[in-house]
Amino acid sequence: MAEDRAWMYNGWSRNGRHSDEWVAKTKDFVDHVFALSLTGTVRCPCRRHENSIFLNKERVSLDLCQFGFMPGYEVWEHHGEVVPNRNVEEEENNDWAGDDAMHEMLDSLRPELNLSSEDPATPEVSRFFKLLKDSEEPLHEHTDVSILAFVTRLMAIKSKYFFSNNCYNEILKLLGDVLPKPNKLPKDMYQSKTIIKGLGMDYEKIDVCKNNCMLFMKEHAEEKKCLKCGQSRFVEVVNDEGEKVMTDVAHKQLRYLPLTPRVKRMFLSKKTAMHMRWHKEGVRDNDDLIVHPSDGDAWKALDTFDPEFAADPRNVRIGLATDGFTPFGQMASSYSCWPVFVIPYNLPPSLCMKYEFIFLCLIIPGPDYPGKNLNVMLKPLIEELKELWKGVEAYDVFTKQIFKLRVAYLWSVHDFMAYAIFTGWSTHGRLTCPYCGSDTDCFCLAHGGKITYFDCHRRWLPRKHPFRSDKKNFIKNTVVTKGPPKRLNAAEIYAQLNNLVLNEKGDKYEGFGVDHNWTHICGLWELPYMSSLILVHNIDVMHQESNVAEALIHTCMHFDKTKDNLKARRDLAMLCDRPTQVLNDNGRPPRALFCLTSKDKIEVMRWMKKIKFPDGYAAGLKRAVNLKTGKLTGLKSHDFHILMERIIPVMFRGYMPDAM
Amino acid sequence: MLLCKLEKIFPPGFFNPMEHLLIHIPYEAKVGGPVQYRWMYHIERALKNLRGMVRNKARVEGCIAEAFLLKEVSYFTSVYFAEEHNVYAATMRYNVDEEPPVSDLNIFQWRGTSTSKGTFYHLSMDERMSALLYMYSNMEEMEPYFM
Repeated sequence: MAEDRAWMYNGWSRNGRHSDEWVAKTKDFVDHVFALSLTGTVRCPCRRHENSIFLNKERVSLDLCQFGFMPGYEVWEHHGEVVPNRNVEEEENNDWAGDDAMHEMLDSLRPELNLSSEDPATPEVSRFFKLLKDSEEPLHEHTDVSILAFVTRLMAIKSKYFFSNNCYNEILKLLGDVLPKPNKLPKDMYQSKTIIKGLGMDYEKIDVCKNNCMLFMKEHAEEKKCLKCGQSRFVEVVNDEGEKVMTDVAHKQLRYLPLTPRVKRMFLSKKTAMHMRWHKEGVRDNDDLIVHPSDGDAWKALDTFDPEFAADPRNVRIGLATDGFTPFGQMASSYSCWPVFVIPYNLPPSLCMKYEFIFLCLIIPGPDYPGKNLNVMLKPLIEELKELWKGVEAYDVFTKQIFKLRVAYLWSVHDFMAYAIFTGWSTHGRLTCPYCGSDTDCFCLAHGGKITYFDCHRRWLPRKHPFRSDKKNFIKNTVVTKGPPKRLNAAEIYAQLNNLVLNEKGDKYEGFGVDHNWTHICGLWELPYMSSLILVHNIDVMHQESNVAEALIHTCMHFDKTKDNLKARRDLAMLCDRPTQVLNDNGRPPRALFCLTSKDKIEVMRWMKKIKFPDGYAAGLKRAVNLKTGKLTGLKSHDFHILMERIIPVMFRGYMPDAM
Repeated sequence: MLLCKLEKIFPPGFFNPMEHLLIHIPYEAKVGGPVQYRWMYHIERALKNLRGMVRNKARVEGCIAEAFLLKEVSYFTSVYFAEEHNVYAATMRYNVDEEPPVSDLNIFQWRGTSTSKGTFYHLSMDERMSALLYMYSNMEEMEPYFM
């Protein structure tokens, strides 16, 4: 400490006759502190508030005159000064107990509470003071562990290993019996929950129509019946007199975990607040490599659309992800519930996409497949994204500032099924591919009865490539001259969506299946910046890879799901000029060139059984190999990834003719 | 290009929409960046966790919501726990015990101990020589002698 600050306490007197030195220096202090503050409020260091709340200049001066400085505040640590050696001390404390850090945690929570409420009597603030009390009180006489530290640690274990509430209660009971007697152990789950209540964030329940047609929120919050299908919102029961009575129990509820407090909280803990700036300030070893989405064009597209948004590294980009999920196992029942996840992409590669940083946002209730009504369910999220684009106030612990936090949608990730209901582009029928749109050459196979993209890919080749004029190897007697289909950008897609007209029946858009494949318009297009994006939805590479690998393996090894069956051979004879593979006279197919002989197949399988990978690289691939039946069973999507990346390149080499 | 080559080999039935989409993946990678931020593995893993949260099978959504809130709290607080108290801290992949190193030589300094009690084995002359050779050629202390 450079200067002596004894004046802070010597000059002040209770009756208001402060010394001249005190008045002058306090005035200097107030001016200095408010010059540093960006928002016009600082923590009030008076004896009454003890730095607990943020106040404006007049109130701070008044309080200082009335109550004086809080005791022991010679170093103005909450007003831009650093306490000498404090960090070292903290680290030492952390080594032996967690409870000191609990205070730090509460400190970082404090600003958020005071921002939202000036009035100290609100439930949030009183909850916070209860937390503070619990963090100071030791569990029992002979320990340093506070109640709060104990409960939070036990809860962490509970939620890591998913033990049930009953199990939790039994453990508490045992601990209660063992610990020395006057102790402050919570009795059960309920009590523990009340202790940590102040830390948690809440979720909302929104009633949904039984058929998923509408949400009873905002202007429809009071409706009793669905405006679209007329179904009752609440469960109806027959009472004793035989009348139908409406209860106040909703048929279905959508659970919505608001995004705003969760994103704000990321800035409340020092470590994550620092990491949230990585995308802009983080160090890349090699500038030419794309190591993070922020290096790609899709990210930069939004930067050019709104440079102001791009300027602040704290503004968050998020991705959305949805997938259907069957809580009772794959086979058990047809119950499907659809969680929607939000992923902040600001984080460095080591943290981005980790489970801790994937927020659950919506739980779309089962038991049926939501179909295109998924769009209805996304509504609260989209409303919130609109608000977040305008910006909300948040506190950043890393720089100790209040700032305007803005959030933008970057892209979404789905498997191909969810892609259809999320984006509104149906992935069935002839126009399956959302990129090619209506400009595609795919056709239906006469015998196989399926859509095929056979020979649709020569258009991507360079103009003079020999393949383009090859009349033999592709579809017979065809030459391809046209270039690849035009890739629509978001603005063009938006224009296309705006031009859609409902047909006479009112259930489909005009031209569905011929000019376009839109079933509905995704609510995300209401966002103002949507048309500036390049990559609106991602094709999921994981499912993609596993499907392709599966087809490849099954076809080459001639398993059940081979694509090279009798029907395929008949189609082949019709379309192509491959005399060696045409069915012979007795209707039997000759062995295809790409197919392994059964002797080779067994050799490959034996090799796969012996294959070894580094620890943690691939889950025991060899368990999938069944030498007795000569099959690969129970391969998971990650196994296919390994197969595709590492095994297929080597496994067929040497067994296939050189021409391949 | 590769797809065209495949087209020369495989029958038309092989090329369903899934195989076709491959042609658009390079564009996405160019624009969007590394694939690990754009695929479903993480989401599928998160779903697995959600499945664990369902304790009351009649109230699936409620279970998930409540448990997820708890999870959020515990992640937030766990940042402030001391390292050895934090259940979410990464665990060591080595079997580390307090055992004094066998010798001061650099090559005998490693982390981790054997998982079981040692057994005795007589080295043949050849094996002994190659073991010694390995040791000598990998020891920092020996470097001055090789110069």
